[in-house]
Amino acid sequence: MAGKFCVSLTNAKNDPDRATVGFVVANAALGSDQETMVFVSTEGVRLVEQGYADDIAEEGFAPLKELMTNFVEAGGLLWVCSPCFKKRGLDETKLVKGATIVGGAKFVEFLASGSPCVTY
Amino acid sequence: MYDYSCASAGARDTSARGVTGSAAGSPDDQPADSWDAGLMGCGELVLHLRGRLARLAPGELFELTAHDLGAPEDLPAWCRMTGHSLRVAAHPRYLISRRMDN
Repeated sequence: MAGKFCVSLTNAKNDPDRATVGFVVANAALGSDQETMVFVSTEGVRLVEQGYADDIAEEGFAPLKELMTNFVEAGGLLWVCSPCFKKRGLDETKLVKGATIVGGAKFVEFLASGSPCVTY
Repeated sequence: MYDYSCASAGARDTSARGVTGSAAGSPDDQPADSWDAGLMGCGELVLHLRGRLARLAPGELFELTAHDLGAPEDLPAWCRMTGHSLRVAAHPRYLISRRMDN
């Protein structure tokens, strides 16, 4: 991997356009040999509960579930804000494949190592 | 059915900008593999492309057909980042030489 790249994703069905484009960009970074991590926080954490993203399909883009699956299967990191997840009462036994619940230190460590970050 | 392409508009320069290698455009270039990506573009395109190039031996050629409007700008940038060589860029046809290392 040539470098690191972070996509901070803070939206879900409240703004499916942003949620979708965040993963499109993440796939572009991963496909360009960047060690890529998507950090979902605030409303974005809803995306990693199984079934939630299945009906998000923005015009002109691949369905979000497909984008997320391709990202994880190609080695992308999918990190989930722990307090954001807990606040919403989501079920940690129903995480999508590849999602990992992390705290702020893990996120900060990744960025502090020199990763750029774009937020959607 | 959805359109795979990124949001983009306007005519794009389809010259061979960013093309590397001494044999760019040589009719003797024989690809080891090829793929018609249709309208797929942006992240989806390069993620799939990455996997396909990884299956080639170092130095082998890959022929890509990509109709996405962003491809003329994206593919040279992608090759610069990944170390693959863009031998031919004649939108929508691209010929990429796999990088020598893994």
